[in-house]
Amino acid sequence: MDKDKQIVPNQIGYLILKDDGAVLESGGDLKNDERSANVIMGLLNLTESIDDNFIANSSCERITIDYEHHSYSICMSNRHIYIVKFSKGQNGATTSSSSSTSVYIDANNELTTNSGTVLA
Amino acid sequence: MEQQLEKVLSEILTQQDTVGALVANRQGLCLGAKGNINPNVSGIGMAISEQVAKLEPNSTLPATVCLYSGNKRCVIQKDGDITGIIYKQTTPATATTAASAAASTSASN
Repeated sequence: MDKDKQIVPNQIGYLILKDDGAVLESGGDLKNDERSANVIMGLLNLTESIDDNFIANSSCERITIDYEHHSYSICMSNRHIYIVKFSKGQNGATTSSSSSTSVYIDANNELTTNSGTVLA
Repeated sequence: MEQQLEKVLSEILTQQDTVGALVANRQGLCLGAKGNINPNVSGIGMAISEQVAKLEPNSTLPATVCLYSGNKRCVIQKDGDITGIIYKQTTPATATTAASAAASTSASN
């Protein structure tokens, strides 16, 4: 099993932070990336109060940052901040489809092995 | 110059679900606003775009930031010295209108 936590299929990196900005977990492109964590914490502080008439203070549930070939998605849940970096476009799609296929194959193998043992 | 800016802002407002649009300069001052948007948002919008620019300073193309809250979205993009902020809101009413408009178009065809 791979060391990195796979949250979404085309994920290329992830960070899990505490609400004070401390890095709890990281992996892929964002492994030990405290600089990105600090920039994102700064962004979250700024987004707390944009325009109370449109988006109520601290009601922002998700933030996405889109680049040409990749994007970041930031969510907060249970006082933890989840940041996922995804790839997009041809390269990303190829990588993700091949990796997800292998995951399915693994899962299928596991299922067959399990059912085999159950049957035996 | 302002006329051109006003024209672009009006064009943005014609897009689906768009309720307001604004452009700010690098000092965070509002250069123009159209629709239901507070011109004072230019400062915080510019600060957000500057903060996001720190994430990948070597990126050649500007990033687009989108803040989601329920059926509302705030889209921010910085390009050079200018930052654009767009407010979007999806309402069941607009969806129904769009559906009925599509139905009437297909009926007339």
